[in-house]
Amino acid sequence: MAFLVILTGLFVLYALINYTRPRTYLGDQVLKDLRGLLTRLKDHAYLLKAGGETNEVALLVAVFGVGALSTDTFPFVRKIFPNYGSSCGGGCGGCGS
Amino acid sequence: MITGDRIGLGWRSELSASILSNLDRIDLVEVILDDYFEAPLLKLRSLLTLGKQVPVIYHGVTLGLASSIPVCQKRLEKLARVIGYLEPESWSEHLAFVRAGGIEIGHLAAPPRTDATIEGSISNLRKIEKTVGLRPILENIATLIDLPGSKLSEPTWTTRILSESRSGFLLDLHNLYTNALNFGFGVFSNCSLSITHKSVQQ
Repeated sequence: MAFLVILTGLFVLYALINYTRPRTYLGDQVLKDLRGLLTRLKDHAYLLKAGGETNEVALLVAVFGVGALSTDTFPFVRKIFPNYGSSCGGGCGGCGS
Repeated sequence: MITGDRIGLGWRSELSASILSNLDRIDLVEVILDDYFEAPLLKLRSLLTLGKQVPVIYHGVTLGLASSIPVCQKRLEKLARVIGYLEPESWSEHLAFVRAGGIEIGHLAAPPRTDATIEGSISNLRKIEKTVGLRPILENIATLIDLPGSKLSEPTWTTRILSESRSGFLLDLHNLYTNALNFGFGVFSNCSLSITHKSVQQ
């Protein structure tokens, strides 16, 4: 009986940990890989222009988060996310972090 | 095996964002294997992730296998590590030499088309297969000069290496056209032997 209670407790703990994770392990891996592939994009994020001529901004935000955007070019980022800034780099915010 | 025309781009870090954000317009991406000889596994894994987004073909540029000089074993071992991890269906290299006498040319150079370079190439291909486990598809190169001492025509020399080594052929149309311009022959007359060769895979 005690064994079943412990097992249930462990399972609930396992389920909670996995349920509250923002991404699966595979998702983390893919994101890490994409960040590796797109390092150059992040390094040159300051060159991206506002206006939607290319979809590289969307890619940058998706993979590195809103914090990767240059606040000089995209000043609204600082207004919307006061804690985010270019200096914090990837992983600071947005759906990609 | 040729399955229809596909349009691709070479994978370069400068182009990575543009490639990944325009995958609907790109059929395939060519990755230079040599760029990953020293890469950690994490970086190699990212190529597998790339391969899930778009078909990837792998290409080598620094073996210099078309030579009477044996291919460097250390370089082959690095290549074997990368190929072993990525497990591609195929990969390609140039029918060129890139070093001699301890000097790196930094260029894909055409060797003299002789029996010696045919034998050297075949011997190198055996060595490559032994170390890497997979022999490359071979690509024709462009050259500015017809090296003195060449005794065979390019189609004959190429066809002999392909048939004697049973290797596949990557027919680079741009290189063929360049050679046709440089040496004043008809593209179709020169490639007639090669292009109909059953070894053409890409």
